[in-house]
Amino acid sequence: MSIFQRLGRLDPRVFFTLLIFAVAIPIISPLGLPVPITQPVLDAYNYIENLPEGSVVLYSMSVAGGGWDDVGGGVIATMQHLFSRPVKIIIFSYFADSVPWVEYTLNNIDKHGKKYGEDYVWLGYLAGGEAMLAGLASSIRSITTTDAYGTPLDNLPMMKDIDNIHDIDLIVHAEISTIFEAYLRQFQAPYGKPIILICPSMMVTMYFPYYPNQAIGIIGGVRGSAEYELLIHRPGMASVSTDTLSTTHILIIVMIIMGNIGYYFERKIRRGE
Amino acid sequence: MAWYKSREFCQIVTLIVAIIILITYFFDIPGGGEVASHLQAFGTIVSAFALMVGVLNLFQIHLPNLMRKGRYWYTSFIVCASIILWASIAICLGSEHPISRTLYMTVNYPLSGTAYSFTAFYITSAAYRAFRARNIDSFILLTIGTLVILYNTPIANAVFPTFGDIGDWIFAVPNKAGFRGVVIGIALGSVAVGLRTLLGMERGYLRGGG
Repeated sequence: MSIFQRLGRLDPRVFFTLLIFAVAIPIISPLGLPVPITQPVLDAYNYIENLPEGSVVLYSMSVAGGGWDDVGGGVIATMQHLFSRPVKIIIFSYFADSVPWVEYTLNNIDKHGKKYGEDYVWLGYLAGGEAMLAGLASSIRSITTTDAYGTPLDNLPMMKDIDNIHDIDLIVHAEISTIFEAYLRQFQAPYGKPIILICPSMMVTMYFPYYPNQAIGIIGGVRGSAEYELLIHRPGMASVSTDTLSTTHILIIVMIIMGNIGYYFERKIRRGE
Repeated sequence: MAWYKSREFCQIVTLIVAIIILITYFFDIPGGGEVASHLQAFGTIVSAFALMVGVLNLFQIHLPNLMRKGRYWYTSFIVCASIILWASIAICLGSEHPISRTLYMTVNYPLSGTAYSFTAFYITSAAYRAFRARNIDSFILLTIGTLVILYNTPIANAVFPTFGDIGDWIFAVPNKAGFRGVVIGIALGSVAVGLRTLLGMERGYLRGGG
């Protein structure tokens, strides 16, 4: 068997070993490779940057452990950006698993002096799936009358004049599953509310058809998150991971080329026989 | 059989609720929004109960397996013990307690993160084996796939901005066109299923009866 034929029959353990190095090296020693800003991320940034003072943002957190490393950077960056703007933020969680991540995010951002109950509210996990979203749109108090800490919503100054979707100016939805379409059905289609989506890279293909009309901006995976971190001038966990993205993707391209060279020579030899 | 358990009664309830929700979704009727809101809140409460049903169902499957030391009894033990441990701590101490938080962040997060990252290994291996120019179809798939990978590679995009333009075009034109077709097809299918349910022709949701 020639060396070219061998290229097409490599043991998977070879790629796995190479992949470990491609992931580990940039994390141990960051390479600082450039990250160009894409339009869907820039649109999301510009929309938040231009929100008028006093706007109300509904932040839906549907991110759990497994996908945190993919979208966590985007969640922290957008939350940080929102906290730096003169807007009010209502946070809720679609999944029970997302609760610790909301608190992790709130503990890891600069709140710019925003006060709980006056500038932001955390509603906690709201059960009920899409029916809950529909209820939230018609009346937040029909779904929950208290925040995550048990304080009645009517006792929170910020919530006095906020009860339904008409009081909301923007929805930011972070997810790792496939529930975005429920948000489109309950918030965007009937009320025309703008939605910014933060999702894993593999979901971008699926949700891109909704951009820019239904989803006004998409922050996809580690790369989108890193772009957002750069836009707000706060490099974080996603910026560190983008080097890994470059090295692993280049490895995959090299593997594809090697596989095709091997296949080409094997086919040539087989035809010769 | 009690009247409230009959299939006809369930279908009438479905029909009334669906009509109220549909009408209030499309028309602004005074007081209608409030009725719909109550119905939706009711739906939310019912679906919260489904969580408990899910837990009971898990026990129903795994406890007997554990008792008779059946196949993979140890995984059944892990499932039951995890549910009991997590639920007990959250109920007794509260989900905000540092012990609950530490358990979640040190067990669930690393485990689910590890499972999620396995996909990277499978994707690399699959790309190597599947992306081969065997014929014209696979050559097109190989070319598009490679261009999309390059589009998603920040360094490739920075060095050769053309990859960004090509990627944008692939996402904005062929991907959008194909996916919109799929989405519209699914939506039409959902409308058909909704109509069948309203007309009582779809009975799968009633106690699993066809």
